[in-house]
Amino acid sequence: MSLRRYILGTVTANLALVGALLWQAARSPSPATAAGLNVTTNVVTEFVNEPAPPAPVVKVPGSPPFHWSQVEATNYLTYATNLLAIGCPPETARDVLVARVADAFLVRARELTRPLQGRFWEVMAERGELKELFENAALEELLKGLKAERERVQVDLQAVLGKAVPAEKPVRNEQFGHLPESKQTEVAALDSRHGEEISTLNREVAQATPAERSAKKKALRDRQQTERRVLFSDGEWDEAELRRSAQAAQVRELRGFSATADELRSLARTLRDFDTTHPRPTPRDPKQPAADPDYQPKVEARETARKELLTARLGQGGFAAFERGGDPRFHTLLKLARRLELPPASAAQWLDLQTAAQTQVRQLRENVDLPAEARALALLALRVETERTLQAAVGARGWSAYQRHAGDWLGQLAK
Amino acid sequence: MRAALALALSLALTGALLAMNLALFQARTAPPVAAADRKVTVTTTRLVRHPSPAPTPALQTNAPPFHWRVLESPDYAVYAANLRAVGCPERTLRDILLPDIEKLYEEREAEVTDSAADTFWETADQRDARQRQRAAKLRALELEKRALIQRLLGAEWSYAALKELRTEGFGAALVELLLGFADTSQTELMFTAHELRGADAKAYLAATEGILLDDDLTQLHALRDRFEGELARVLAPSESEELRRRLAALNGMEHLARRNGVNLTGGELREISRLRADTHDVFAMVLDLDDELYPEVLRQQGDAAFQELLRRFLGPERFADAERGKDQLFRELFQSTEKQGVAKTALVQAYEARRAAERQAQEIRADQQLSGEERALLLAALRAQTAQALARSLGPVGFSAYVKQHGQQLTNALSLPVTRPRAAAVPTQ
Repeated sequence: MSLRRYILGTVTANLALVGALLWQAARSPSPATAAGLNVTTNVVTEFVNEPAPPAPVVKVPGSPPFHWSQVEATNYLTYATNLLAIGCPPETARDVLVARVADAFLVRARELTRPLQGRFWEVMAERGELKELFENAALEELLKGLKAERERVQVDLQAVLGKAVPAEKPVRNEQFGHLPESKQTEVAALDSRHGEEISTLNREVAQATPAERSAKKKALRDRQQTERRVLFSDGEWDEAELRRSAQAAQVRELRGFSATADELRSLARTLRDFDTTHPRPTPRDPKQPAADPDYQPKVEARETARKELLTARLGQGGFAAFERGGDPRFHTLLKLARRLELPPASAAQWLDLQTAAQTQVRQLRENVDLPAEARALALLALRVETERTLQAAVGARGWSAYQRHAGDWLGQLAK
Repeated sequence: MRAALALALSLALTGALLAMNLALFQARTAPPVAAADRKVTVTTTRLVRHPSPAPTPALQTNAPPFHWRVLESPDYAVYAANLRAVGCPERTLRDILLPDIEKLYEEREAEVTDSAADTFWETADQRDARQRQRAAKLRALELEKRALIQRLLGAEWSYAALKELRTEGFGAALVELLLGFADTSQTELMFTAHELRGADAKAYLAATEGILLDDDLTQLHALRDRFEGELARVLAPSESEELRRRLAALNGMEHLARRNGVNLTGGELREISRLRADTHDVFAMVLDLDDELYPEVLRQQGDAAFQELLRRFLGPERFADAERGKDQLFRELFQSTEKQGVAKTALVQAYEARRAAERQAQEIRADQQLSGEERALLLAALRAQTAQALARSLGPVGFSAYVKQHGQQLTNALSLPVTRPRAAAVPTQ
């Protein structure tokens, strides 16, 4: 009996133990007990200097960060002062403010002219010219007022920002290019002072008699000339005088004529000497030169002497180039040749063709024995032949340009 | 005996279950150092960053004040970006950069143009060649400047154009009135287009020395078309048309106005301007290229076509008025007698008498057969005749008004030219 009770007791205990075993098995396992794997985390600390973030375009110091609205103001003076306060250069502030003021006044002017704008065509039909649209006293007054106001603002701004100083440009007068820089400046200053003296004198003598006026002006000129002369050495003065001469101007205008600076100077001197020793003849009555029988021969003799002198100096070819170089027709032809990438000799050839044709035309017109019809026919034939020859000489590429820029004379040939 | 065996087995089972429970309990509650077959070590690096100094905190009282030099940079792109970053408005940015760039390029241009070399003794060819070379350098600088402005501001701008537009004065006011149908920004763009294309045209003509080959004409036509295209991009089609008509009205149409005796409404004048614009290239004119682009024959054809269209538009009577309106003599008569109620037929009569007298006076002055005294006498008679004819046509009030304003011109026109006696020459050394 007692054995049976023990057996029952142990069976009950066993059942309880089975239940306990099942409960334990159902529980979630302990997290760190992954069987067979031991994970160790090794944390290493490194201290690094982090590079600066991508450079912002502007690193604006101050806090809160600077914004343009902090300086911008509707009041011009405040705006200007604000700009200067943050170190804006006065010239930059001036650029900003001048534009701002101009724009603002432009808008106001536009408002004033708006009534005209709506009637633009009507007013034009009435007045005819744009400028006459302003012939409106009330509008003129308003615009004047606006201008005065703008000027006041500009003066106020100038007090804050200072006046714009125009960049000084070196004063160069090529006539004095042979002088040292410092002397050129002295001459320029003297010329400026002389100009003021002349203006003052002109005001002073406005009421004087012509004789008094002339005498005073001459006295001033003489004094100024003396003052100027003092600045120059003899050599410098001689060169300056040569540069001032008409002969210098003449050689400087030569085209298609090759010469060095020394050769040109020498040529100008030769021409000046010739003109001094061979003054141009003057007819007895300047209004009727043909009435003086000696006049034309004198002119021709002088021309012959001049030609002989220049030919001796420059040679036949050089003299021809000199004569051609002062011919305005040749200037245009030279440019055309340059554009067509042809040598200057081509321009000379075209000029010769033109001169020959024009000489023939003159002869035909002067030939009184020729009947009108025959003359007209001859002129027409000459024109056709000249055009054909010229076209071949100039070439297809340049022909229309020749006609446009240098061909007016062709149209006159057959007339 | 069997009961004892069953008890023994049950006890053994109890023991085993106890052992299993104990083992499981220990496994669940034991620390993780439980035996592992593999060891894995993971190394992680923790970066402790030392950042660059941050901008001064808001509340710090020793914050450095903002200074303009922070914005400035020798590199215009950086300067522009800096200004934009602080919220500088685009218009202000333009007003800062353009003059600055202009000054820079003026200095660079001065380097090209200012030469201390003595170049006096040069032939015209040598001088021209030097100037062409200089012009080419200046042109290259100009194009470089334009490219810089385009890069910085995203569009072509001309400082010179804006400066001109902002200049106070009558010219600017006229332009303002002419272009007043467009808004300010459109005007700025139109001015810029005009300035730049005008400069392009001038540069082209200078480079070609004014001698234009057929290829050059094509280039210049393209330039003119570009200008028109740029204006068309700025303006709406209706505004473009308005501009075309207004520009046409400024050229050769000044006489077409009521004050010159041509009775027109505003609408009619606008329509006539269209006819003018249709027969003339107003954009070429504005660029000063019409003489280059169109031979004289074509320009004359344009004039003739306009005259014909005008004649049809106005009808014969008003067309005659328009023709008379071109003549200053008629304008003087019309304007001086406008308020006196002179009839149009009388006015036309007076004009014809005045014009005829002018022709006769010219003939008398040119007649070499006449002596000075005879000429003077004939002209005096002509003056008297003309005055009578004018008085008859205009009536006493009208004639008086005319003489009051233009009497002196009438006398001068019908007299011998006044020759001033030469001032006595002052002897000079």
